[in-house]
Amino acid sequence: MKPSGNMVSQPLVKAVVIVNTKGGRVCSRFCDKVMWPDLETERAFEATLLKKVQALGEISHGVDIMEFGGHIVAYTQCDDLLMFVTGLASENELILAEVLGSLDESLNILLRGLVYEENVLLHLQGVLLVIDELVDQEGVVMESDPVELVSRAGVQSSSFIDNVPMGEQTLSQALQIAKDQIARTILQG
Amino acid sequence: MTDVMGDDRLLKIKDEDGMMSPFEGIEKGSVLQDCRCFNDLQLDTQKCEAVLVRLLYLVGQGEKLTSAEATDVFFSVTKLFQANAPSLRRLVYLAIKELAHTAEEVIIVTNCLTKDINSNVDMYRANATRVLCKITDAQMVQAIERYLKQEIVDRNPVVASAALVSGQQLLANNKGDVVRRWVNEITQALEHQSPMVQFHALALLYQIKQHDRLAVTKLVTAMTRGGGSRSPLATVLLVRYTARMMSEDTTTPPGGQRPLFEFLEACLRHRSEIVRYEAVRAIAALPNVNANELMPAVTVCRLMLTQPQASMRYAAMRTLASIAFTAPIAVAASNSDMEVLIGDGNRSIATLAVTTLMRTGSESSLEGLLKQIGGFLADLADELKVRVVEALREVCLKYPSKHHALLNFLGNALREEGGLEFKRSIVSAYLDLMATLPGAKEMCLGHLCEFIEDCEHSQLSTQILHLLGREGPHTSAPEKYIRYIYNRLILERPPVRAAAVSALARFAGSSSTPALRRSVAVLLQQSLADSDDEVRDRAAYLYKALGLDQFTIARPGGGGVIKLVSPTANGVPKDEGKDKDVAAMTAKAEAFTSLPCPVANLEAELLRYISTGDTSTTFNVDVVPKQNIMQAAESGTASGPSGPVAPGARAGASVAGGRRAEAKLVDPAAAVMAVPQLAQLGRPFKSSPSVALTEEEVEYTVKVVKHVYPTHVVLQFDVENTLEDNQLENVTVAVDTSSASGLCDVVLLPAAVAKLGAPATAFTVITRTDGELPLGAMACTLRYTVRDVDAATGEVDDSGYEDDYQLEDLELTIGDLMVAPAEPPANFRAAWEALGGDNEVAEEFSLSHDSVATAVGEIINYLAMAPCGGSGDANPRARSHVLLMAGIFAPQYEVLLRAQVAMQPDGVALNVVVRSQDYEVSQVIAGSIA
Repeated sequence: MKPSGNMVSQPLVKAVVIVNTKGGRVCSRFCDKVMWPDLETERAFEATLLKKVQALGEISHGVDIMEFGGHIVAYTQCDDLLMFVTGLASENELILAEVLGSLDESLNILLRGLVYEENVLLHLQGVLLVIDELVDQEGVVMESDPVELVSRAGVQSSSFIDNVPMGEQTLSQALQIAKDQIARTILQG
Repeated sequence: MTDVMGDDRLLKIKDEDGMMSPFEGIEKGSVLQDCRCFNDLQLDTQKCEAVLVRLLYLVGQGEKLTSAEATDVFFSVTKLFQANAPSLRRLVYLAIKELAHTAEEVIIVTNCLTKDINSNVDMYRANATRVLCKITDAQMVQAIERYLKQEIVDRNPVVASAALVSGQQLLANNKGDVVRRWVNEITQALEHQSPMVQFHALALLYQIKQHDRLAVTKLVTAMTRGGGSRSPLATVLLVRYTARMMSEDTTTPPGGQRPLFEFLEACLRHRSEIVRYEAVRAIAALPNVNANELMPAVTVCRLMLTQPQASMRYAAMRTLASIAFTAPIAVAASNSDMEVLIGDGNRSIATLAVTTLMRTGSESSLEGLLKQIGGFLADLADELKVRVVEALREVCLKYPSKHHALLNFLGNALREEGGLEFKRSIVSAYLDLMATLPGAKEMCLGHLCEFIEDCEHSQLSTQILHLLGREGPHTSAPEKYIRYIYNRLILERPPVRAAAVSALARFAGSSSTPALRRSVAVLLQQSLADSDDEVRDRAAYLYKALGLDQFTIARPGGGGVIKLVSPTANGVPKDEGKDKDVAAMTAKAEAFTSLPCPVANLEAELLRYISTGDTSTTFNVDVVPKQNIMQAAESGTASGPSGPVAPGARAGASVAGGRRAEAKLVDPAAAVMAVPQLAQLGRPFKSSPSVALTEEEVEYTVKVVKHVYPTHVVLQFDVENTLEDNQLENVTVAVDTSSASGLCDVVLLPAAVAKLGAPATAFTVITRTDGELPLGAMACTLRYTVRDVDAATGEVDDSGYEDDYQLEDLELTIGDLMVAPAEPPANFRAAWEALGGDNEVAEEFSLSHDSVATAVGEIINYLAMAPCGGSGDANPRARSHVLLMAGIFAPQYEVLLRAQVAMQPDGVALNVVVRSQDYEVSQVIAGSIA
């Protein structure tokens, strides 16, 4: 009989990390208390992730993959945020890429396409719940369909738009999104 | 207060100024205070949500709550169960999960959660299940088992998944033996409409059955026969389980496991790319897979290489790269696709493509490839550059005829921008190539000389200077290198100058022409007035030791100007006697410029010498052992020379700059040499790594370190008492040497006391009989007097009784008499030829290992010899392997071993040839393996 450490594992996510481009943590879930026993190791890992991504140069649109120190890392950039989903080097990278894709897509649905640091923090409640529905604390993939994820998280976006009666919502919503996007473009420019 | 905070937050939401974080200036104290609103009679749901989010944000940022604070929050949170707002409840669940590990009063929320599991809102049921199973204990699980069973077969996928995944968690944490009783329900869930539920059900089912091989086989066969599952992730699991079954069953070749392999092949055509890729990985990782079976997998990879998603290209590229290690031919078909990827935007993909192409490409395509790499190397991150260099080195060894182009390429890379790691990898590539391609030596030296002309890393400069000193004098034109070394002498920092002095002095060695010696004398003389102590001392010492002062005329009247005899003048009379002196002196100087022993050994011995406090006898460098006595305390000891070493007596104290921080080394013999009675034995020839003689979880644990001396064997027993309520006194370990050979009298040195947290060491000293090797097994018994200790007061009871404790047998093997040489021969073949075939012994064995790699690992472990030329790492999938090892057998026999390991249907065939300086030694070693 082989030792149990050698058992076939199901696909596992080791960490879901969202940091801003300066390396500040926005929201992270680490799923391996052995690999990251405390805050310091977590922070150090986040810093390494950021360093590696920056060393690799420009990030293409969509999900990218890299490998270092026994981790396979799927990463993507959303405005001023970097999102990572990591697994062991032996993990199927396409599954990690899919999990990251779901996270990205769900946040886009949840935040109506405005995924940037401030907005994520403003709607942290929804973001936390989406991550909780995406992978559990041990790294098991719970659900990967973005629409399903957002509905399971079941939060009404707490911004004031939602308190506006249904009929008027679409117009004011459109205006708000336009306003937000113009503001972002100006700020970035 | 809380209202102010609330308004504040609203303000920030409306603030269009953008970059401000809504959690700016958030503080633990105020958030905890805000948590009091959970206790309000009329709950304000929105406000509570906001406070909870802030609490979660704080915890997420790493803020630690004290145990009291956590308990407090917990109590408040239970109040929130009164509110019936779904989004608030979701947050409450999350908060409990995040805080659970810090709170002791988990029990206070269990009631509320159990109620939720009973509720008719699916979202509540699912989440309450997840939370409760995470924080609860085995007993509680039994109380809710009924509900969990129902949930597993629930129509709602959220509920079913929650229960199934919770079941996995319970099993993994040994809290859920009840889970094993749910097999019927779980099997039912395999047919659930939701693909995710199917996936979770299959994972749990496997987890339950994993120790029962037959049950797993049945499960997998039934599922694969049914064509797999509709869920991609569940199919991924099936692929993994199938591959596992195939690799465990090594008796039938892959062809014999037709149905299983056909399932994997069918998965290569699955509609989901995740499954297709998983099947590719599984097939590529099968042991004994042949090129034909790999073909369909490689084809799938090729298709993936042209996909727009980076993740697909990366995945395919990584798998192709790993296949290329074992079966480059199978991958070669996709060369054209990989060439396209050299220009890929994702640099990791491009690097993988390049390194793989080097492995799979033909010799003729190499130069074209080099051109392409040259174009993109500059934009790579250092880490990726290092990988490219490593691949280049491999290619160079594979196609020695191409070394010209490759070395030039590396030379160019060396002059370009790049960090220390990158440069170091190139330098060590050069070192390797020089060792294996003697024809390329001068070219390598030339490139390295160019490099140090403009090198910002003193570490590398010193390393290269040392190398020049070693190799330069034996080249066709040593003068060429002197210029480069001299440039360092006038331009560099002290550590590099010191290295340059040592290197320069080597050129004035016995083999040099008088003209060369004279030139070196001129150059070295300048360093006699160097501003740095180390440089000046080295120069003065070497100058004197090499007899270079014969080239000078004494300073007239102590004046500052040093006149030299010009090489053309007949200043130096040429006579026989003088030449002999020179030869003797240079030999002496050379002996000092290269230490006779590893630096770590010298350091350990010097420290020991100082710590004894007895300086009446002078330290003798000759007694320092020449083998590696130190054992790395951590794995990953730095390799490669650590820079030149200062000459002679100063060596231990000051070592030239550039010395790399090495992994911590410990002297395994330190403990035994610290015992006064044993110190007179000197240093043991070999100290074996510590071996446990007891199980780990017993009252008294004992570990043994075997020290072998020329006349004695000392067994060092480290005894640890894990019991709080007694202590052991007068601890000895008796050994029965009757069934071992070469041993006679036994003397026991007891350890006084062993109690909890204070391990004790007892020694057993056995005298060796002359002319026999100490080998064989010995029964060991731990003897001691037990005294009770009052755990509370620490008081020791006066009365005690004697007792003993049977330990596992201890064995002295060949490995205990063998040490690895400090520097295994770089060229094994030459060493092998040099030792000659007179004392050669060949043996054949068949071992019962299931792979070549494990057999190789075990042979290395058993014989404790040093593998040469990287032959110690066998590819895990290899069918055969040749292992080359060197060792020194007690007391001083040089031993070389060549072992050929090949896979056989019923195990592993081993063919061993041993050469040594003594026929009997060869015989003993070759015969010991069986």
